Amino acid sequence: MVTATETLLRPPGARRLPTRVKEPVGDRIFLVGVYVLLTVFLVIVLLPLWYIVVSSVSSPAAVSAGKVFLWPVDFTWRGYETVLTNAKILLGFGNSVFYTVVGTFVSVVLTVMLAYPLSRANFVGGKFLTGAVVFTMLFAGGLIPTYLVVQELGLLDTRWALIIPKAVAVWPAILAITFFRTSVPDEVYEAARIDGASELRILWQVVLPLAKPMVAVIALMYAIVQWNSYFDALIYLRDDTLYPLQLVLRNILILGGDAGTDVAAAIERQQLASLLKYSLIVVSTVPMLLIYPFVAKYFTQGLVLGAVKG
Amino acid sequence: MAQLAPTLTSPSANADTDAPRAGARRRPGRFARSFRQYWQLYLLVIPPLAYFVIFQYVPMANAVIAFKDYNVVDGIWGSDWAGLKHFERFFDNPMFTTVVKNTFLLSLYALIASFPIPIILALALNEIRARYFKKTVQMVTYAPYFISTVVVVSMAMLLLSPRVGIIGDLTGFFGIPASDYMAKPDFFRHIYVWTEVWQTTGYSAVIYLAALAGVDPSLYEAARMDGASRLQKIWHVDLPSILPTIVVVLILSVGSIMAVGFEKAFLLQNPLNLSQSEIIATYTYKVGLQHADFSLSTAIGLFNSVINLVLLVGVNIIAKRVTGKGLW
Amino acid sequence: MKRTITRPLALAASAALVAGAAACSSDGGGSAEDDNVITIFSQQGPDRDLNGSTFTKLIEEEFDVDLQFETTTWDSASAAETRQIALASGDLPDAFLLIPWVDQFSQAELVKYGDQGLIRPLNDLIDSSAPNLQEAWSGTPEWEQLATAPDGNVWGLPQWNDCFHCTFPSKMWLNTAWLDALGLDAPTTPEEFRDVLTAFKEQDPNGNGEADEVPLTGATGGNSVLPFLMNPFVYVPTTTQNGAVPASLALDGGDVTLQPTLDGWRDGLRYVNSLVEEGLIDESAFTQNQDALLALGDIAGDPIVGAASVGHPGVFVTIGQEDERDRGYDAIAPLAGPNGSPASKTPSSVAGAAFVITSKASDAKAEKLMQIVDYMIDYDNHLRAEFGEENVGWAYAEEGDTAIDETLDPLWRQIRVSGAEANDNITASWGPLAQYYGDLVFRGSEVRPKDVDVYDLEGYNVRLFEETQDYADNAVEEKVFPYWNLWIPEEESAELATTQTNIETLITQASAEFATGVRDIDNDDDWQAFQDALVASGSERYLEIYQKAYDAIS
Repeated sequence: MVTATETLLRPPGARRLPTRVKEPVGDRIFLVGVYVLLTVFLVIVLLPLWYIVVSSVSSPAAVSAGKVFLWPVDFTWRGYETVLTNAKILLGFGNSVFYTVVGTFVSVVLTVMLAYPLSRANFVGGKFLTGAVVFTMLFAGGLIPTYLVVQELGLLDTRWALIIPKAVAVWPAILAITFFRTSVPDEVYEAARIDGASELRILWQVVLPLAKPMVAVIALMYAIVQWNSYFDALIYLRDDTLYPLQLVLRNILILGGDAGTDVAAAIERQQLASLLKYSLIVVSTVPMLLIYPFVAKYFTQGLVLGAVKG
Repeated sequence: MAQLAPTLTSPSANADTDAPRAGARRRPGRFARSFRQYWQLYLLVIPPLAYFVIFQYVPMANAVIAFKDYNVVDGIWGSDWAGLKHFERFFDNPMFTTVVKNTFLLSLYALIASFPIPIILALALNEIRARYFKKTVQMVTYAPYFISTVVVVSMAMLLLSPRVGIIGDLTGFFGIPASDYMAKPDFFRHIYVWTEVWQTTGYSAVIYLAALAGVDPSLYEAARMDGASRLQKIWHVDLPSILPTIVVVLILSVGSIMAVGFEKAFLLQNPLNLSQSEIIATYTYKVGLQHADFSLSTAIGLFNSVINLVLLVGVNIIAKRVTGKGLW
Repeated sequence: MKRTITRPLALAASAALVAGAAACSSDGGGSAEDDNVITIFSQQGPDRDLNGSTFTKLIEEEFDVDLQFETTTWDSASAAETRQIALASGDLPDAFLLIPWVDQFSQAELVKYGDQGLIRPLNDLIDSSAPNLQEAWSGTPEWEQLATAPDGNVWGLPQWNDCFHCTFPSKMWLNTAWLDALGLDAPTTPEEFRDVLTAFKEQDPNGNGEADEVPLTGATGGNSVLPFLMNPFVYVPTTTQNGAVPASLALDGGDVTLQPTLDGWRDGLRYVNSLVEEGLIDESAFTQNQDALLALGDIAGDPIVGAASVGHPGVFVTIGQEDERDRGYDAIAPLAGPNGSPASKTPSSVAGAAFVITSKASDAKAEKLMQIVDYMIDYDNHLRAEFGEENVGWAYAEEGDTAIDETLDPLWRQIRVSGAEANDNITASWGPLAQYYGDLVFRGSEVRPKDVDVYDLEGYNVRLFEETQDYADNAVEEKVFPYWNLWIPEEESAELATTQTNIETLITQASAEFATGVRDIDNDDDWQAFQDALVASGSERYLEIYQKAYDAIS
């Protein structure tokens, strides 16, 4: 027995158009233009990135002298060696993975729990609550008042201090509300209601599958925030075995800042820091780049589902 | 924006007839009805709201120190009231107009420059089918977001250095002698803004890509059947479909306009560009080096927030008038 | 300390969301007091471990205490924030043990928190428990003066680090290799200097056939060319970009003067501008940062930098290069002009306090803390505390050694440790946290490396010591405005902060603009506009506040 909802989502006899209509010339030219534009973008963005990668394996003297441009000069792995053999780094990496995975999960769940009701037109109080959420983007208590709250809740020096105080952010929440509104047509709600489905079931079985691209995006946004964060850890954590990767890396970079009594030693350390600078960036960025393809595949999911719907 | 056919209107949210109006006198009945139908949603919304109350609103109450002479020992509620004293101190400061103006103009320039480009990038990526190229472009353009400000600035400075940087070589190639770009006050803004664009475009485009993924393909087919060219399809299908997202991003961006961070401006500052590079954040930092004053910095923060609020509400109203879509 | 309203609200709202988290977390906030545990808030470097350090163990045994370090990182901005939070949140440690160049208590803060009763004065403790400190103070009264507020209270102890070469931050390092190549003598007056720079520019001293030489360059902040070039015309104390210190104030008899209001300032700027006009000063000298300056000095190919005014040559050229270009730079003596030949002198010890005992510490603990710091003041203990294990990180001088300062007896030498041993040794010491008494005698009695070329990295400290002599000989103590000994009263502190920031940044900006020709130094209207701007920014009040503070201590 086919429910009304399913009828809407999967009309019988639907199939994709077998052949593509031949592209008119104007469109072909346009497509070429698009490829050119994207290639230009790619090159402009890529060059400085390439410079960073190349610098991370060049000697710091060469980098400082401006000799490095497209190819490494005085190839050396020393930067990576120093970074990757540091025990604290591995610990930091593990911590960051934990914070990112758990934090993102908590944040996405809470955000969906917030955004879905607020996106429903007949949900009384939705507009007010949305305004209340946006208000927190404009006005914030500040560092010390927030710290006091975290302190009084007993979260200091625990892992949760890095997850809960930033659990829901305004941008992903508002984007989620917008996406929910625009990606779910009213007919779907109507059909579901006819079938007698509860609101929660609608959310779980109908809306979320449709909103996969959006969930992927906000998951990415939260993951990036967690991965990049170091300041929260600085303030809320005293135990350095809980430090996330970014904080450990920042610390290492500060090695070069020791302005102690011995200038000669300081110079040596500064050169080491120069060397580390670029390797650190690569090490901290690569994981985020690696997860991107997994997220990006959800940006086409909707098309497939939608095609079936059409 | 003419529509090709009635069925091409995207399934918009506001087709509802029961939209609650604030202050409606029939609220009790309306709310009861709403509650009966959506009671599960009301429960669902409690944990996130609790988060907002505890971690956003409660600390906000403590922002009252802007109106007090904060004293650590007395705590926030025991310190003496100072009324508008801190705000007056800020307004009377000879640097007030300069730093506020610089902050606003810098942010506005950044907003105007960085707003359309991610949209264009997303639309362009949406057109192409070559999967590896598409994925590569996405990944590469989103990578700069992770590079720390310090590195971005030092790379920019190295690039622009008249003697060592390649920009000098490039312009020299065309016969223009390399000049010290960092010395020109105007260039502060250009360097700041275009490095921002470089860093954030790919990341911002992700939002639009996701929005585009949600477009109903039957719209595309209908457009194709109507003989629309790619450009027309973009104009009549893609853009209207992601318009709600565009509007929301715009409003949220305007709502953050005075919240210009300290780090990048500070790193790019030098004695010759101070007339443009001294923004609220860098100035407060310098004063704070000598005399850390929580009350003053909170007052300044409130000042920024009020401006942000006014602009945000303003843009929201305009957006609703022009496009029918807004934040709420 | 009164609580905020957070508690009742927070408890009411926390319910399901937080219950789980709170159950998992450890007990935060005020915990049970362990009688023998002394909590110290400190800054920990990336490769150090204060809690596990063998030196910490040594101290714990020596004084029968249990030290618990709460640490933050060496990143200045964050360290400052965490310290502020520790103070504002009521979660006070027993003491703060800080590093001056990361973050420490400023004089304004000491006065403020002292008045509020958050920190305790050290006077009694010093009398009862700090014999080494008392001895140090009688030998180095400037340290006592630095630490003592006008009301007589010693709110905290600043570190005393008399880094000889650091006190003269604007040394002109000239490419003497080029001087020799062109057969010139070292310049002694501004005009002679101009001639030398012109020769650098026109006569191709690096011998590559191209006019690529940069006669004189510099960078922003402390690497500015202005102090050295302008001193022959008017005393220029130092430069700063952030207005954190009153960089433009000097003394004339008992009066505090604002140097840019003097005619000599205009003459000095005129001289600098003339050098810029003739292309003798790199246009980037006023805008580039230190990295860019270093890139110039290290540039691939032939060296192009003729001179730079910095504290030590490592700032603009990497030491130990293959083509040995770094060996060709020497510091020339200050130039002589209408104002004589003064050298800009700044303190190398930072005012404020690196060691502070809070009101939370009991009397017994406070006494122990004072004893611990006092312990590190003694030279021998200082060596162990700062450099690590004897004969690993450092060693006593031996027969036949000479000291860097040849007038002193040699005492110690530092051992360069590398590799795994270095890591171990670093955790064995407290490093910069222990640098409480590095006076001239201590630092000068470091062993001079034997048979080492001062131009090598090994001999670098010796090189700096020797090159600073000319500057020390030209110091004009009576002109130096001792702002670090001044304590500004709380009521004036806020006003001074904004006025000082406004005026010092105005001066930095205007000087750079006049020097580069953006504003015309010969145009009387432009100059008058600058003077008027100074007054409009509150220069009179600026002088008033500082004069009053100066009178209070003189």
